[in-house]
Amino acid sequence: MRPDSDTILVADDVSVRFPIGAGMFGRGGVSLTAVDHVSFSLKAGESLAIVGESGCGKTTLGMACAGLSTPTEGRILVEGVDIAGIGRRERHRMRRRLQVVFQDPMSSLNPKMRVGDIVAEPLVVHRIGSAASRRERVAYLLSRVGLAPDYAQRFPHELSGGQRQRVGIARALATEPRLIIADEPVSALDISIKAQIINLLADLRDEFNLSFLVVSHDFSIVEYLCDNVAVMYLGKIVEFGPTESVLRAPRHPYTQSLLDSIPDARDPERAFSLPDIGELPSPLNPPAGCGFHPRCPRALEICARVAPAPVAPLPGTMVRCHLFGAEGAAAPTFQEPA
Amino acid sequence: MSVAATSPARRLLARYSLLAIGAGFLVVLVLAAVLAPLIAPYSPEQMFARSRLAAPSAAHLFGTDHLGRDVLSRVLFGARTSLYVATVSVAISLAIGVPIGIVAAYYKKIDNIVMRAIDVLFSFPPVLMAIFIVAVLGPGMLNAMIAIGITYIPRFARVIRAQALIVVEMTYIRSAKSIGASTPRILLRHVLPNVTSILIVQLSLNFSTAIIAESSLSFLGLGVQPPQPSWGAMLDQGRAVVELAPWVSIYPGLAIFLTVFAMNLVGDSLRDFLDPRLRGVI
Amino acid sequence: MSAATPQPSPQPSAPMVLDVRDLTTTFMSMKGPLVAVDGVNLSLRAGQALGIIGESGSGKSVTALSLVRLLPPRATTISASRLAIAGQETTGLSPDELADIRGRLVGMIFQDPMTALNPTMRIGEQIAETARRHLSMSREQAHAHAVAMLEKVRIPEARKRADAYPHEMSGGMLQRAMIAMGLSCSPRLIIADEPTTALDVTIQLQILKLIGGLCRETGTSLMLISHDFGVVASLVQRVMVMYAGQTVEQGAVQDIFRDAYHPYTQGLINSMPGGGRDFSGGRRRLAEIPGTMPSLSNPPAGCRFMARCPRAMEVCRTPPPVVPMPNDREVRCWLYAARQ
Repeated sequence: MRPDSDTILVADDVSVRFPIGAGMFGRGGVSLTAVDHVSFSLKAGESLAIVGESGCGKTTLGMACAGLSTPTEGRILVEGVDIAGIGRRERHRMRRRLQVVFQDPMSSLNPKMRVGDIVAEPLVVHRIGSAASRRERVAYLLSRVGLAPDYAQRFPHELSGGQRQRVGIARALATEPRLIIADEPVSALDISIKAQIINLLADLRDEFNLSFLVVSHDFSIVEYLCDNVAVMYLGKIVEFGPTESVLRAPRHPYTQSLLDSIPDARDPERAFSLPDIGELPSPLNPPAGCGFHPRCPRALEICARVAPAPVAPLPGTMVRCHLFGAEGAAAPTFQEPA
Repeated sequence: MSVAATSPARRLLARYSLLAIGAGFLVVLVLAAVLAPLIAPYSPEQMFARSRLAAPSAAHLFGTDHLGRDVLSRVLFGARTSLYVATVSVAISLAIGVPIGIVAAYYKKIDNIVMRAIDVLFSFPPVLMAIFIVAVLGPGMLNAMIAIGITYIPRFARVIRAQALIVVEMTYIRSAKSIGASTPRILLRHVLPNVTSILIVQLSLNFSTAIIAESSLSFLGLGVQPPQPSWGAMLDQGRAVVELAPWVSIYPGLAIFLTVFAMNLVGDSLRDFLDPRLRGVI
Repeated sequence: MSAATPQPSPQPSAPMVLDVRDLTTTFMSMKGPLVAVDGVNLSLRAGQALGIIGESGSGKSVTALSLVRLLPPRATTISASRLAIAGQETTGLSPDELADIRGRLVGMIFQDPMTALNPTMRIGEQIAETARRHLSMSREQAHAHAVAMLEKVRIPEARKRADAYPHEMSGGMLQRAMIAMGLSCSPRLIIADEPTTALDVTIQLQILKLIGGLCRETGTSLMLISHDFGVVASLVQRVMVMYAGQTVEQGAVQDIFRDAYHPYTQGLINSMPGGGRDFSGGRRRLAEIPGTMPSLSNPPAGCRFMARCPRAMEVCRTPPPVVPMPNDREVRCWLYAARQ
């Protein structure tokens, strides 16, 4: 399943802060910490999901990993190379290996360009192949994502949301990348189309041995596509581990709340019987100590004072919660199927 | 029981009839201007000494002016002048204003400086601005084109910048960056095509103001020099004899009015026609 | 009994809040007439809750907007053999009379509170506006009423928040404000169109509980439109599944979920992942429905789902009948026609 074990993406203590309302000459402003000392690594052929709600910083982190924004602190390493320090030509080469699939199928395709040109653009930009060979590759890519080759002549507004998303995926595959960063790739799609796209991504991952970094608030794609999942809250990763264990036996109370909040048609009353956990705090004014403590049904006294350090209950997992530190030593909450 | 809608064919007709009228007139105008040497009854400079200030008649459909020149022929040849000057000056405004607008929208850092400079230019009343430039450069057709062209750069820059600001926030721009597209490619291939609809509208509206500006300059003797015919100059010459021979002023004035009106009709209708939100819903 | 289970189906003698037969809505588009809603029947009694499930293009939102005529009048034709709200037939009414009904008898909650609320008006003012119009209150009374409504939807510091502008509030708060607005004139029916789709998961749950609780408390009927079975199942007793402008299945929500009749409904339910709770591991595939919904400007002659249906038959080329099934269920499918 994993022929090479080299690491394809590393986030090394990454923080991203935005100045808000800076005074004159940039002094005396407040800053918003969108990403707060995040570290993870992704091996070739593996897939990682970053999940969380609005304001948790997952999209900012995803864009930093894609090299579309610069971290305030820390490093992003793509195939072992720090992308902040590389020159223009190297960066250009990197873009062949790393591609992005964006969220909004409406605005992620240039409405004035034909589908064929959109998919071929990465090849043109990187001067790959001749006009004829590009046409062939476009036809191949379109059929691989489930679109008839004659779609190359159409304009985006003639396609449905699901079809546009397929075009975005075809474009991402054009330069044979090793890593694809997907920002909410199925959130804007209908249920039946969502299933098609998730299956497509899983098939492509297996066929081309791709690595995925998926940013999402939707657990369905996490379940079916990703080996590991990182749960973010107010800029920090609060839990990390293999998808199966995090979803079946979440440790962090936030992960638990998140999973519990998803209404399940088979057991609608369950979600309703749980206590209210209140509003998401503004990232501009995070709570002291553990960011989740005001909403946490299992908060301890220490949670309001001290931010928990990450611990690794098992190899390959991490949780940032006092319940699992020296103070807590709690067992993960196992969920028996209803 | 039903709540009925009016037929789509009728609504289509109502909406686009104005566009059709305006466009039709402009086509006639352009043909008239292009074919002037063929269809004008006389040369615009030919003086009929015995028929000065003659009222409209079979021989001179629009009458003659104080030098005995046929007004109809002069109006036809004047159309050439007006259209030529308007086209070139709009092209100048476009060629300079559009890149400024796009670059200002893309590079937020220089946006401020550039737009403040544009605002300074914008604060001058346009015709005064044109007069000032011509005064500096000297009268003449070429200088009139340059003057009018420069005067309307801020208008283009502002309108294009507003649209480009919206485009620059679109995900497909970020997507192009993620592919590794160079900045010139992004500006030319992704931003520019998506501001063309607003550009077309601005272009057509600007055309009519350019016609007025040219006429104003010629009226003041600062534009096209005699004996070359120009509607504005004809208005100026007709002033002195407006009680005796109103036709000398009426016909060129009517020509200016109809051209500007038609151009505005086209511009307004184009704006509606090209608005993607209105497309598909009648 | 849990916090938000709706009451069991009321007595048959409960008054009809919504009685709609053969609702058909046609849009005039550049490509010709487009039938967005094709012969839909709806009925809802006081205190009941109905869910409408469908994907984009199914006609679910257009159905709701057609009931209160919130569609562009010149481009839309709405027809029905019966369209009664709270017993009052609405098809012949003038725009003023319709405006009267909206707000007084029917409250609406839309999907995106950011765009559904006027950004230049304070929240309290917008709620007070409906109260003044429909309940003939004075300015002060209406303002006090608005604050009371904001408290009812559990917005903290309601008095202060009433003076806030929409952009100063979070998505969840705004949706609560919209609910307050919808309920402010004590309508008989609330129509909620994807009320939680734009919200985060944890906030979504709170809003659903709020809507369910308030409707139960005030005896208001609820029509909940969504693409999410889970969201709908948590609040309603009956659900209607729509596909390409038609109803394909109707029945009690648990019955349908346990044992859906129509192949589209089955496909939809199978496309839904287990929501994290039922995870059985491994890289397996989601069951998917191939293809896409047909374009409504040129719908297929027979069953509209035929091209994507795993159980399509020759007879499906002709329009399938609506077959009544036991337990007050209905399905539009040839597979069940023999039982008629």
